[in-house]
Amino acid sequence: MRLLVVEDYSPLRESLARGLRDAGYAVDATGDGIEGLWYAENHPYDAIIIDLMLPGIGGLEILGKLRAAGNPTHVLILTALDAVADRVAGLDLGADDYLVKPFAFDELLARLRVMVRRRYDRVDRAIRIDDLEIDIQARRVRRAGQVVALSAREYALIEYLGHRTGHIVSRTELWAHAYDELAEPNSNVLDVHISHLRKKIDDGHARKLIHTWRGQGYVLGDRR
Amino acid sequence: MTSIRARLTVVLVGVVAGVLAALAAALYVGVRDAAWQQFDAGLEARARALAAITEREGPDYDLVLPRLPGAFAQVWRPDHSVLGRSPGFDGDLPARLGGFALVLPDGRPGRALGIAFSPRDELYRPPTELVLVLAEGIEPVEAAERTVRVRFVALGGVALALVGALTAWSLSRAFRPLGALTAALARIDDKHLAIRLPIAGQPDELAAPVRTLNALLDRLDQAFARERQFTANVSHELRTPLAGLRTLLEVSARAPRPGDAAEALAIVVQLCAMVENLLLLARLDAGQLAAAQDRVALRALVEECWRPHAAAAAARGLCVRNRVREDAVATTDRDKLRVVIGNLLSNAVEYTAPGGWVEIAAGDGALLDVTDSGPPIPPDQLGRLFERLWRGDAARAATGVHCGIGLALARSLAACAGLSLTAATLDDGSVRFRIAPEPDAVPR
Repeated sequence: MRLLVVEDYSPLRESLARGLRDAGYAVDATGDGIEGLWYAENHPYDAIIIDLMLPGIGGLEILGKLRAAGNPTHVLILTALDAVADRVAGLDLGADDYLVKPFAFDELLARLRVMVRRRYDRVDRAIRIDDLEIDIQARRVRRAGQVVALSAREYALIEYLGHRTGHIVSRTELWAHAYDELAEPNSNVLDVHISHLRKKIDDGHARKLIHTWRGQGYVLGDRR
Repeated sequence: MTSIRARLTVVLVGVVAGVLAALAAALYVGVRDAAWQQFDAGLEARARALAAITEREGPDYDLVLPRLPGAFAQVWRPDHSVLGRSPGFDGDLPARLGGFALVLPDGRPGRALGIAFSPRDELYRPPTELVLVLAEGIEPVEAAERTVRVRFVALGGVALALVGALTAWSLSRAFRPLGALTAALARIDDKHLAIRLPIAGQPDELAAPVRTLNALLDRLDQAFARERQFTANVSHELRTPLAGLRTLLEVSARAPRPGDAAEALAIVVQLCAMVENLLLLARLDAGQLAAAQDRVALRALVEECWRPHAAAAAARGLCVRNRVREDAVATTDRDKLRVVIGNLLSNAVEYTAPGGWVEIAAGDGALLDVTDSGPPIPPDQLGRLFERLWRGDAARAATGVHCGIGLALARSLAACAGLSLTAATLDDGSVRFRIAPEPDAVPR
């Protein structure tokens, strides 16, 4: 899952990016409103975390522009302003959630999970394909009841594939959702991670779940 | 009595009552005098009629007084012997000429008139004078008097009641706009300061106060807006570092990294400074700080203030020149001046373009000038520099170190010490902050 963080206070921005990366998200972070808008317009984020008071262009303005352009990405507003009027303005403009600073990082993670789940029309906290279970909340994967130990990046890949079960996910799409700007755009990295995933999830099981569609991408489960 | 309406009503009713009473009294006296005159005239006419039927016959007089119901008459001869009385009357009336009051022989109050007359004489002897006194009851006059009195009192009462009611009614009508204003004012509180009182349709007396009230509301509205903005800014300035600190610590608790503690400490230090500044500003606002009178060696103080900023200035390649003379001294509050200078230097070090210069000088009408090489501050922003938590948008640094309270604090501190603090962009694009003694300032 790939996130954008737009927050001008650098200690908060850096801690957020670090914590979110630790939690397995691909994170782009910027402290500038105009740059934030550019990021949001040009990348397929699963969720955007945005501060209201930003230099350059305010958070509400960014939100307004995104919505005006028909961009449906879930947006969580992060702000020090807690007046009801401010919240209402943000929600009216199409924000999906609102957190007042200072906030608990766990709460932010929980709300992000809800937003990602909503994005893929999922009510359940777990994705099940055959005997594979991806627990989004616990970020844990089981195959036939056995916990599969995955790296953060591998988990990000399998979760995204899980959200798109049965659909072909192109390499570009996978890249866009599981890696951030900091990652080297090297297709080998993706191949290596996928092959590790295969080994951990499919090895030793008669029924293979991760399929390659040559020239098109990958599918988790049977193609619909 | 505190109600203007009640007071006006009472005064008006009182005045009208007085005027009516005076008028009624004058009328009453006139009417009564006229009534008495008329009564006396009637009395005289009847007395003369009686006199006319008296004749002198032979040695005596011929007099047959008719029966006078309710009245009494008596006639005397010139030698004061009684010539005759009206029938049924055997007492005596006072033998006096002219009109006078008396108690009638039957006990009723009455009035009498005595006249002297010469009876007709068929023999044309020299005239002799008889005296006739006619007394009648005065009930008719008294009854008329009573009627007039009763009517005056009744009419006066009705008139007063009408005046009172009309006054009260018209006053309450006149005061209705005031009631409407009160109701409109009552709706205004700190959340509805945008309401203005209507001027159209107000009576002239209220238009001026309404205009004044509206102007007051304008000022209040602005003050509240500034206060709200300030509060929002303060909450932003305090919550943002707190959010950074909390997130940093939470993230660090999951997976600690070296340097986390130092970073957290830096945020805490910055928060402490921020809180200190806010507290100081609040105390200044409340007038809780007094100004000392110290003998201050300016050059040494500037050097002392510069030390904490030297490293930052060097890092930005700034050149600093302390041009204050060794013997420059001032009498002012040393501690406050130190904070003011410190804030100005910190501001200069942060905002002066890298590679520029900062110069501190004294004299030329100023206690101290802190000038830097710019960038220049646009004239429209110069005044706002000293607003609390205002940040020039373009040059705005991320939240934190300079939260825009430094200059506001510096100005308040300077004012407390009887000094003025102003900023100006000079012709060469440099920016000069000037600390000057305020001529009329009374140090607190």
